[in-house]
Amino acid sequence: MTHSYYTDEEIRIPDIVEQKCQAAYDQIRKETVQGSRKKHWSMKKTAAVISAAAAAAVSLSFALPAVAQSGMLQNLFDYFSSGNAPVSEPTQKNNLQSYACAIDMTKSADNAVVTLQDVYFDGENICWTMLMQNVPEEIQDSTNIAVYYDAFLGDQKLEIRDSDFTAMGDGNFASSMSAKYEGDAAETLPLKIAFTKYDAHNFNYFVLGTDNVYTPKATYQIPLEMTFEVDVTARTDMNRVYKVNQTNNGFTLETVTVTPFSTMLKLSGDFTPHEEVVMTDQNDVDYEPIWDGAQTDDQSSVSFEAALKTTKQLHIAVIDEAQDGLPTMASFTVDIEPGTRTAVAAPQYQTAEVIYDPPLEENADDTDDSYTYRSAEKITFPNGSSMDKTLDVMVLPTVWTKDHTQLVTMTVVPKKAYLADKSEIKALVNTYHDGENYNNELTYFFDGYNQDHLELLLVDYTITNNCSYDCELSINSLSIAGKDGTYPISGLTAVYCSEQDYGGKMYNLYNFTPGETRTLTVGYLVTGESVENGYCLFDSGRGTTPPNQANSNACIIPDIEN
Amino acid sequence: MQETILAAIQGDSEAFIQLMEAYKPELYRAARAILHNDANAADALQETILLCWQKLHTLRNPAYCKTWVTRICINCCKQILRQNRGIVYVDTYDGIEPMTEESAYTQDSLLQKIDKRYAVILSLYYKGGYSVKEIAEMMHMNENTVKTRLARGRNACRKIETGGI
Repeated sequence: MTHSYYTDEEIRIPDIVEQKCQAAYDQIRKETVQGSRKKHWSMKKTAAVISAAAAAAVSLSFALPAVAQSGMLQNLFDYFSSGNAPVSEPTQKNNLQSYACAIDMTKSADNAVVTLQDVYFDGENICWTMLMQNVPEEIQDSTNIAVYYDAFLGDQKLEIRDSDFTAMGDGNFASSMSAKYEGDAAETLPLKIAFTKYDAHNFNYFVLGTDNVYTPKATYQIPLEMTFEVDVTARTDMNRVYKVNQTNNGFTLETVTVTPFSTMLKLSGDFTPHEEVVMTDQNDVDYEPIWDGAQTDDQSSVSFEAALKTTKQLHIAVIDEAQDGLPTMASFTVDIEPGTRTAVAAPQYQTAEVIYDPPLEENADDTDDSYTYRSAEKITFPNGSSMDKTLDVMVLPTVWTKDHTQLVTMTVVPKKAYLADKSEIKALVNTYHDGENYNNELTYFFDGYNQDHLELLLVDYTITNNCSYDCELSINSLSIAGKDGTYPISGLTAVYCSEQDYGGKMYNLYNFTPGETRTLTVGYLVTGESVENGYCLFDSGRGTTPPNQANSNACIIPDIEN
Repeated sequence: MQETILAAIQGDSEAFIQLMEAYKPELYRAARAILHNDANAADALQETILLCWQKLHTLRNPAYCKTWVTRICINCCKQILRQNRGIVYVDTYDGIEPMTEESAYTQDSLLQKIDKRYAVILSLYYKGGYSVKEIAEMMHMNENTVKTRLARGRNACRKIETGGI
């Protein structure tokens, strides 16, 4: 460092820098900024963690109860609430068998047999259980079967809370689905569930401290055209509505509605996007939120888990997440009759060893002087025969984003993928910058590792901000993963992004206004083989939703034999 | 230091803060070299610390922690540069005289006139005192690219000084 402008000893950190650093440290100490492995989860992330942790029970413990292949079927509400079954949503822990209506309607298609077993409807929430049998042999060892369907209750299209069928350990798959109903439940309503197809996944979940990772193993897609139609009448005799009307510091808790499915709060006050409602009981049991609830500037409705049989008193607090120390803005205490839910003991998980061994992209070899940087003019296209292909790509459906105070969701949908023609590549190459990335320009930085990747795969992602306020989408990585579970394929990181500069960067933020939809075209330099054997990962860096690879960057997880 | 890094990765906030304190002089040097302004450098460091805390789980190899943190800092600086495009800062390195014949490449007024890709590299090299290899690692670039940009940056500066641009 003979050319150094000044030495380390001469560096004096200005006060303003010290102050800013201390401010950052204060936020970290007070946990107003979430670290990688902090437990301060918001509701949706909590659900995802439970999903991963629950699936670990499938992969690792196999302590699943035996279920008959046919005939005497175990009640699935019993099964999910037993503590031995994988559950991905807190609502699946409710044992609603004694409140539900037995349906036992069976349909079959392509040899698969699906049974709609029970339906429970409390007037605001609907929940049903389904069993899938006779799935093709090649996917019987899958952990999850995702189904594609449309579901309606009356005229309302339902947004299902959880739709995966999960392995029961005997070749059958079970599902407990639930949805919020916003309409009038006074009359009998038709419930229609129309499946179109399903596919199988094999997720190996491992729990690392408070974090989790997974590895997608295989994917198949199979048609499954069948429709269930039943009439449903709300069972409201178990619902208890407490008209509280307590006011504290400008917030009013109007009602608490306790049903076998949920505990719903209705509040009013001067709400901003930064308030979060938390609920515990007299035993300090922390209740998990299950629905986001509708929040306006002056109204908020939040649904928590169903009340426990041991709960006699609820403690509700409105927390301001935007302020240091997460101050309580308002608090309420409500006495209730004991609930209906039995607490389920958390299963024990095997913890995988953390191995810090993957080669970094900034491996010293990558900066070897012998490396020859290829210029745009030297690019050839030996695999031109595959250029007219239209490709199916897979991306995760949900991306986690962060605006420093709360997690929100965005939807990312692959619109199309195609291999660009030569003229398109040439147009991009003409604006190429060596190793740097600018708007609508192509970088060849990663091409240095992959001299074989001579075709440009373009993928359009349609991204929508589902929130009612501005939020930033963090793109941590755009890459191509192997379908065999290895990912990302070395070097197959995006080299082009239409929206903003991207390419090998650690962190990119894209601001989306409420409801805004934009299409992001991402380019990868690929071979035909890598396209055929891989699929696209859109890593928001916040993810716990498969197949998001965000958390797997931390380590290599050794395979654990079943 | 390795133990501190591992503890930080596991979520130990005090270990993380200890780590950031150790890196702070280097980070400030890099941020100041790129942004030419203490207030912006302070913002960059604050954002860097928070981002690193949030993103620490993506660090694959603790041995590269410092490089990883520095790269995030540089990205934050570049983000600030983008946000402040068109704004010219007037503060300088008071009292510190250029040491070498390349002093021209350290003049903020000159660096602000050339392509920012070259300005960043020149700043890191001549002001920050980083080697080509270090810059390549930090910027996630090939060393040859760094060398090319240094050359192009110097040429750009020379052209400006001689009235070529």
